[in-house]
This record gives sequence, C-alpha cells and structure tokens, in this order.
Amino acid sequence: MKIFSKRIYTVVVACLMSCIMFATSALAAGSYSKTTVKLNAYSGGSSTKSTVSSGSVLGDNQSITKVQLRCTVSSGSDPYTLYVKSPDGTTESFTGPIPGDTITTTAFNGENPSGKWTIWIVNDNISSNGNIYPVSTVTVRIQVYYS
Amino acid sequence: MARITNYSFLFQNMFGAQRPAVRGSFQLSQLNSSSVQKQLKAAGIDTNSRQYKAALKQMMSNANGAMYTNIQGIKNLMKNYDKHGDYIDPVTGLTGLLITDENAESRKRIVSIPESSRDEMFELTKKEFLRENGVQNGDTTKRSDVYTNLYRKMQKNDRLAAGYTMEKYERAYRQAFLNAVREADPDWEIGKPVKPGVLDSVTRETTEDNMKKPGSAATRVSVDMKI
Repeated sequence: MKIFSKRIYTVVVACLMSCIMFATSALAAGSYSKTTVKLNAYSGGSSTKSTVSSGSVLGDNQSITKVQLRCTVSSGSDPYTLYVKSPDGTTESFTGPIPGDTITTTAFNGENPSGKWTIWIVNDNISSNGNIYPVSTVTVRIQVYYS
Repeated sequence: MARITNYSFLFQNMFGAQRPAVRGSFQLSQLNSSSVQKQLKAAGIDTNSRQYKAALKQMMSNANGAMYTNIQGIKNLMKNYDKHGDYIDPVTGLTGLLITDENAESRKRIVSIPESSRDEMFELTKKEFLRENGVQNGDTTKRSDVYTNLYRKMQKNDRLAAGYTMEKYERAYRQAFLNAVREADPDWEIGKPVKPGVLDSVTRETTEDNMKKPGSAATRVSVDMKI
C-alpha cells in the first residue's frame, strides 16, 4: 500500500512539474527580461552605459509589441532622467521614474527585438536637501515583448 | 569681550525648518534672480542658448522651485545637448535619435537609404543567418552597427526615419532567406543547419524588387509603400 501511495505521489509530482515547465516556457516565448548593473550619476552627469542582450529571439521575423521598465531606486536618490536605447539605435527618455514604478512604452513597437539594449541615467542636478552634488542610483529591469 | 554664537540653525533643523543651502547651491526659484544670473554669466553660461534652455527643461521636468541646484551641474547637463538643444547620444555622439512626443509619428516615414547601407545590411543578415542557422542571436549580432553606420550618413532630421526604413529592408532580406531555405527543404526549422548554397539565389536586388510589388507574398512583410 505504501509503495502504491509513493508511486501515485511521484506521478502527481511529475505531472505538476511538467505543467509548470510547460506553462513557464509558454509564458517565456515572446518576451525576455534583463537587469542592468547599478547606475550611478551625479551633478548633472551620465551614469555608466549598461548593455543588456536579448539573447536568442524565437520566430521568423519578430517585432517588438511593448517594452516595460521597472526601476529600483536607491533610498535618498535625487531626481534623474532614464534613457533607453534599442538595438536599432533609437532612444527614448523617461523623467525620473519613482521606486517600484513600472513604465510601459510602445515607442519601440515594430522594431526587431534582437540585439543589445543600452540603458543609462542622467542626474537632473536638483535635490531637495541642497546637496552640492545631487546623486542618483538606480537599477533597471527591462522586459521586451515581441510577436 | 564676550563672543556670541548663533546656534538657531540647529533648532531650525530639529523642528523641520528649511535648511540653508549648501555653499554653491541655490534654489530653483532663485534662478532668475540677478545674483544667480551674474554667477551663471561669470561661469561662461549663455542663458539665451538652446543648450541652457534644454538643460533647464530637463531640471524643471522633475523639480519644484524649492529644490536646489548648482552651476557646475548645470554646465554638466548642458554638455548633453548640442547648440540646437538636441540630445547627444553619449555612445555614438549623434543627435536626432531621441524619440519624443513631437516626432513619434513623423519618424514613421520612408526615406531614401544609401545603397552602401542596404548592401551592408543584406550581407550581414545573410552572414548571420548562415552562421546561426536562422536563429536571431542577440549576443552575437552586429546589426546595431549597421544602423549606427547608416545614421552617420544621414541628416539629423532623417535619422529616425532612416532607421524605420532600414527596418523594412532588414525584414525583407531575412524573409527572403527564410523563404529560400524552406523552398529547398520544406521540413527545415529555425536552428537546423542550412544546406550550402541555398541562399546563393537570393540577391539584394531581387529582394528589393519584390518589396516594390504591392502585396508581395514573397516577403510577407509590411512594405505597402514606395521605396
């Protein structure tokens, strides 16, 4: 009886894992997600230009359908402008997303999602507390959807 | 003689009163004051320049008058813009590649692309198609370089439209390669080895001719425009 229960348990677990794997792969198809290094900028200057690659893009001739950006802003950061450059070389800027904010943009729609994205910030050179060197520190997660 | 020291600022801080500005910084609301204007002028900043106005616009988009700024930072911000107030791409040094509310729709137009750039894109797409067996590998592709080379050849106001047009060409080339491989082997799937010589019959000229045909099934891409 115990062996029978163990077998049923094993089969159920195997089925469950297969379902999870299938669902995950189905969800992953048509999008990729990458995270930048920590971007630091101060006193009106630019941060490092962080590049993230699409990896392999599935399908014949895919087009971007939307791009989502999620910013993790360090505590005490001063305002900044975020710049995102697509593999085609077109760039869009975003005025200081707040912590945890998710931005959705359609500016890159129709472009080929394959290649490297370049992401950086520029410190806006303003601060609430009179810092002589306003500083911004942000990490950006980019998710690109395509079909 | 007794020396009197004013410690009132400590109590002001304690009760949340506004702190005095750190030396060298000033509030944005004071930007137009004669003393700050003098400082800006002394620092060599032309407050009538488009560079300055662009830097100011960037600061103000995220600020209120009670916030602080400083002159060196304004100079740093101004370096991001050219004399026309256009943002300079820090990677390529090119302007005219920033998508804004004003150009988001107007950039979607067809412009003439130099033959050398079309040729470069065709050859690269073919080379990468063969090397990766049809997989679009973002880790190894050099397609961004072709776009950058194209932008360098174009006028500033046509760069975004050139990217939009080049995208159409790139799709048509890739689709022509896919069609040729599938015609030779209907069971072929992306990732499987491509038979040698299969792409030899595909030329840039024939592909571009097919793009001009209205509703061409050969390319299966949206090229409902005159190129």
